[in-house]
Amino acid sequence: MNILTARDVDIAYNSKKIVSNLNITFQKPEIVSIIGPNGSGKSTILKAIGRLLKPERGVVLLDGKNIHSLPTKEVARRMAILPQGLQVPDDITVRDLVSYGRSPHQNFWNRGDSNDKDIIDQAIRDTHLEELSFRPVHTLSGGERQRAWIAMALAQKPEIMLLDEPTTFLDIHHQIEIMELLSRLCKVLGLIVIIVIHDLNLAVRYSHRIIAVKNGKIFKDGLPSEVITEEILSDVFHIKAKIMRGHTGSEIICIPYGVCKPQKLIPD
Amino acid sequence: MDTVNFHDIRYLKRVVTGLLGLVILVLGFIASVKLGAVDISVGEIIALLRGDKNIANYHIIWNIRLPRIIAGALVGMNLAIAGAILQCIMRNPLADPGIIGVTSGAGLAAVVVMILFPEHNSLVPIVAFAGAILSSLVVYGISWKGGVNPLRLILAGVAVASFLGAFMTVLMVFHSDKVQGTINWMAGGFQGRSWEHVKMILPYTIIGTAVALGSFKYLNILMLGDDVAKGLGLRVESVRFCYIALAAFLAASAVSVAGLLGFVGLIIPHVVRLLVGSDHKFLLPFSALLGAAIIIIADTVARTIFNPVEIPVGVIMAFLGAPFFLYLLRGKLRGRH
Repeated sequence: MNILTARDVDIAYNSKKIVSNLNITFQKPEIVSIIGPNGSGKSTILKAIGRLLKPERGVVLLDGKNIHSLPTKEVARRMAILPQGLQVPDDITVRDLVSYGRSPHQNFWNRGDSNDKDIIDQAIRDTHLEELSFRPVHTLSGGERQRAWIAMALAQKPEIMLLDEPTTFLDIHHQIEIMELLSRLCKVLGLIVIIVIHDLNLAVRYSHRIIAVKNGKIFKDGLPSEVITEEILSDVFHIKAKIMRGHTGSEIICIPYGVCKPQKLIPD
Repeated sequence: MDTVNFHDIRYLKRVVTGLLGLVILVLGFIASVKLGAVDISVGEIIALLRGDKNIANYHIIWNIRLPRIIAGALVGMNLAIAGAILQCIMRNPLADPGIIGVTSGAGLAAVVVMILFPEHNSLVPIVAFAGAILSSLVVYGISWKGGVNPLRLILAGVAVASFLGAFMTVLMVFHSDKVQGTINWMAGGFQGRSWEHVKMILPYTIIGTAVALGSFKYLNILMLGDDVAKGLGLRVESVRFCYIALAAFLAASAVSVAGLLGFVGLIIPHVVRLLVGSDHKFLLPFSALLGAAIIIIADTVARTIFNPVEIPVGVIMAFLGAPFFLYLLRGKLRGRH
């Protein structure tokens, strides 16, 4: 079932076009990674899909309805978005943060009942934060903090989760931990998980689909094995890479070993 | 376990702060009724509270001290809540009601009346209120560009404040003989405040406090940043506008009664944040409580310490409050190392 679609979307900042003619469809459940060089428009695409940016042209459809004409609160009950550069005040605890995820389901008069409490508990359990739930978020390690934010997103009870570089700045252990978590959530809860990510091998390992973006356009949208090829990496990232395939053909490892037009940084 | 302990400490801090605040408020209230040019016994205060109108100092208590105390408490609540709201939505620790143009607008409007139309001095509160609201509208309008971002708002506020401030200075230079009459108002104070003033500010305090305290969770979410707040389904622009309007009305009504009283709106929310944390569920009510208590105490000191000369209450608050605030801040900074 196609529940989220971007159709002919152009996005501009201060009349400068960043993304043009974007057409994507997402189906449940899947993990989709958006890759591309810095400044290629990955985050912009994520924000447009997440209705944080209004497209200049075209529409983003959630179940066939224009996401910008739906009440933003209704969208928040179905879609959670974690942008980059997340910050919390010093003394806010994990549990406080996770409880904010319930706000799209509450209104001015109703401020949480036992059902909300159960959902918050569940989100904390799902992200293995039970032991940390009364610790201030800012005292946690990077990986724990990221899990706390994901728990907040889970408390929204979304069908779609958008994450902008959830693994950047984490060590390899925590990167894998986050990806395992997202992959489990996708499988168990049937979510659409859309992430912007730099690490190609993580993207390949955990995504059902990869979208490579170049200069604000989708360069290639397909299975990891279709997107992560030597030609495409050379076109999109200007790198030389060796792609190694396992016996089944679905396992691939990408080993970058140089840039395409090497600039002489140090004169001979 | 240390995770549970943290939670307990926070809970305990909130209870202790709440109780202490209440005790200070009540003691301040009693001291303020009691002390002054005429010393009033506790017995008389109790008799009055029971409704006995036949006591000797009935007039002093009922028509002079009480309205002044209550006006002070309401002003303190309004300024502290307005400051807490603005610091949150601007995400800036230096935000106070001055930042959205309330102070400069009220200041210029009031000075125009006091200097150019001194015969209409009784209109000062209303004119100051109108000036405050008008200039905060101008600040908001200037910073609007398909949305309002906190930094643009702050810069617009600073620009408007210095522009209006320049007008005020010009007026004062050309009418230096009349400046004397404006000094008390400019420093802020409660000399001669009556039930009329209480009536002027009370509706704003009741409605403003109720709305602010009731809507704390929107402020909590706004602290996470615009994008996260939008992602959680908050209509950030409309909510921010409502809060700016709320803060403007709270601060404007306070300024119209008390004059240009600084300090409370800036410092009280910080003190409370250091004590109970930044969850607005507790920050807002405790700010209101402490704001009221501090003004009552400072005003009592202001009118008794150099009796019969009254010092502007803003001066007292700065003298007493600033060192206390620094003391708290040092403790907090040391605690983090």
